[in-house]
Amino acid sequence: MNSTLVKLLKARARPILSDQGFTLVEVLIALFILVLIGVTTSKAVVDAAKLREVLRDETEFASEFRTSVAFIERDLDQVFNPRWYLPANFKPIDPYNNNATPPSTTNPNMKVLTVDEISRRTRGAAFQPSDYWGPVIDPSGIRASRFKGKSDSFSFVSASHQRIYQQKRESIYAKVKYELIKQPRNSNLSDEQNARVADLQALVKRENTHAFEVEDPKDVGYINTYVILNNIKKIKFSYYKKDEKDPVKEWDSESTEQKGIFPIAVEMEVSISGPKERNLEEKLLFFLETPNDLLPKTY
Amino acid sequence: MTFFQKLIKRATLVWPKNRKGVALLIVLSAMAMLSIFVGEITYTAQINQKLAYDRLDQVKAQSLAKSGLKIALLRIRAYTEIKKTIGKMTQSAGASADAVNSVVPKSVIEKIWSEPITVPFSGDISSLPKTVQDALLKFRKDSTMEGKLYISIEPQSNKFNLNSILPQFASVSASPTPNSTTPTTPTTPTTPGSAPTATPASSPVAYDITQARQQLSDQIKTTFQKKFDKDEKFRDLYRSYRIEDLVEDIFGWSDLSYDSPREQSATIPFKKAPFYNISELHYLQSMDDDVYNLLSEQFTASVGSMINVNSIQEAVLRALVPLMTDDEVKKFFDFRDSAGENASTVSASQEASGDDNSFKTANDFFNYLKTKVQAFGGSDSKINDFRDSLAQRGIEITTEESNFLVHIEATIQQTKRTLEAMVSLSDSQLPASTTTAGSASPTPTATPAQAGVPGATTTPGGTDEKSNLKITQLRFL
Repeated sequence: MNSTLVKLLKARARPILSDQGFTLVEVLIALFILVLIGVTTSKAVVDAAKLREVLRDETEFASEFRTSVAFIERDLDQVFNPRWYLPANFKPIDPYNNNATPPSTTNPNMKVLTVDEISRRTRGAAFQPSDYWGPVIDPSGIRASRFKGKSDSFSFVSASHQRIYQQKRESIYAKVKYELIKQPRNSNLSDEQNARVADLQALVKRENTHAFEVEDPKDVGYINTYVILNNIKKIKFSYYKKDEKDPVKEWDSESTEQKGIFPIAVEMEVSISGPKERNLEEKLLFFLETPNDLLPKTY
Repeated sequence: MTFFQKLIKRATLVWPKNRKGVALLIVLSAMAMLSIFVGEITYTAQINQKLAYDRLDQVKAQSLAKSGLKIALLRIRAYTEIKKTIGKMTQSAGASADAVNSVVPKSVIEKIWSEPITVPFSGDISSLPKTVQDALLKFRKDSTMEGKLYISIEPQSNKFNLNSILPQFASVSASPTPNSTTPTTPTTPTTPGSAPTATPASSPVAYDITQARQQLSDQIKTTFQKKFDKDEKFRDLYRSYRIEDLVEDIFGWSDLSYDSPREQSATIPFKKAPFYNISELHYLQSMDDDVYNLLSEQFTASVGSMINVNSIQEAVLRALVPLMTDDEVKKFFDFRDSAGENASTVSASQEASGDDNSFKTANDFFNYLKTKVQAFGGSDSKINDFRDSLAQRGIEITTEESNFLVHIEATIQQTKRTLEAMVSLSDSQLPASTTTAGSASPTPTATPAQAGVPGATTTPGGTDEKSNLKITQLRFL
């Protein structure tokens, strides 16, 4: 039995071990199978590579969006207004009524500055609002900070600055402005790619760490501008007033209507061109955490 | 036949056998490449998912921190409400402050805000009554909170206020009236929530801005000198440091009425308004990080220039009462922080409370200094001089806290968010047992609006629908 099997195997094996080669049909079939496998696997490999690229782009896009949202949220959370140091029923100095400020109290050592003196000591700038600060409202020189909001920008003073470097002349305060600019050229992209996004916009954060300078000088090292969100097709900011349902398009805490009041929330409606010609459309609401006044009883 | 010839022959014999395995090799290679790609994609997806979850955790932690702030505000509010209620009860019942203190010890009331807590509660509850245990366990079980919350509230009136050099921020007496003697106990019952009567100075001294500036300047110089004595390296580095320039910078920066000779040379224009935060010191030309660290131990920037002697720290006490010796300073803290065994040696009010040695009124503090600090030698006139000097500087000694630093740590998984908020009790409802040194009658804390600003209505009411809490600053760290 065994010997028969061995003979049979040897007989079957002989042609294989011979040098006769494959027939044409065998080769064609093998080639066909090979091509089939090759095409299938190469498609899978190419798809996998594409998917990887898409995933990377999506990750970068989502990460950039999340980071920019976190920036805005953090700054608005920590909006700062020295007005809150004063009592709720406080009435500010009226610069047009010089008699409103008494020259002194009963104590001669507690002399309170008059409107004229305040003006003189501030070289006439005391009662003029600037972009970030209102006029002086108190004889000690306190100015309320100013919240200015438009449909494409908003600015305020925030206590969110982190002092990273030693010996830097910085405090926790900074003047912050978010605004829309024309998309800057990206040196990592080709001319063609840059041309494709040329009509898009970018959201920038401008931060001045010299928070108490009344005016913003130009071209100084302590005013930094960061692009925080690119490829913006459309953006719109609107502002919610306390106890009101609908937002308003503009806000100015130095205007007659909104004097001394900050919005309770900022809404951002944004449309961004994402990877692979896709669009992201979002509506986000940022709440200003520090209240304007004494806390309600519910606290 | 050489070895190589044999090898070539063998290879030619073997080659035809393996020719059919090319497809297998290609498939294996493709599979390997695919595996690499799939692996990388999976890894990228996992990273992406982790980032997304981390962000979600950050949002949750932020919300949790904000919830923690509300809990902290609730505790401070509960503290003020309880104090108010006790005050009213005392007044209506005609009971003495000491009697009330003996029933509800001050230290117990203070714990409403001062005790750090974690949520959900994770401590050992076996010693608590069964009903409390059950309630806590039920709360823990019902709570769907994912993370952990740590809430601590620290006193802020334990440092000198840099703004005390400004009349509007100094604690001042409204209308000093002469008085003669110095009683050892308050003349009217003093309880938390009821107005105490300060031990009046024989010749009340009003706030003096010149004195306030001079004494702040002296204090900064003393602070440097003490640091020089302790730290040789610091002394070598800052031997030629001009403290006068620093003082000028501080005055010039914060005081609109002050003409500083350094204004013209300042690299950053002076703000000419009060300090809102101690970190503003970094703007001063003469400031560096070492000096900032030295000063920030003792100074703060606040609305009220009060020093709470029940939470005062060693460096501040030494600066406040420079005449105290090391031994006396140590004894002061041993006494204040002990459980009350020495209470009878100081005052009737402390004796009556029996439960803790915290100072119930500013008078208790002055009485302690009079009897325990050798430099005062039991002399009323020396104590009154000391009180006068505080009054001139606009510093108010208090035993109740009205400025709090709320510190919240919210943890979700590995994500932690830290929030700090400065909370003040509004001027209208400050704890009543604050006492202006040198004043004949207690005065509410002076706020800028109360110090002569036109139109500032000081009616404490008007807050029916508002609580007396105010967040002046909020920071996510």
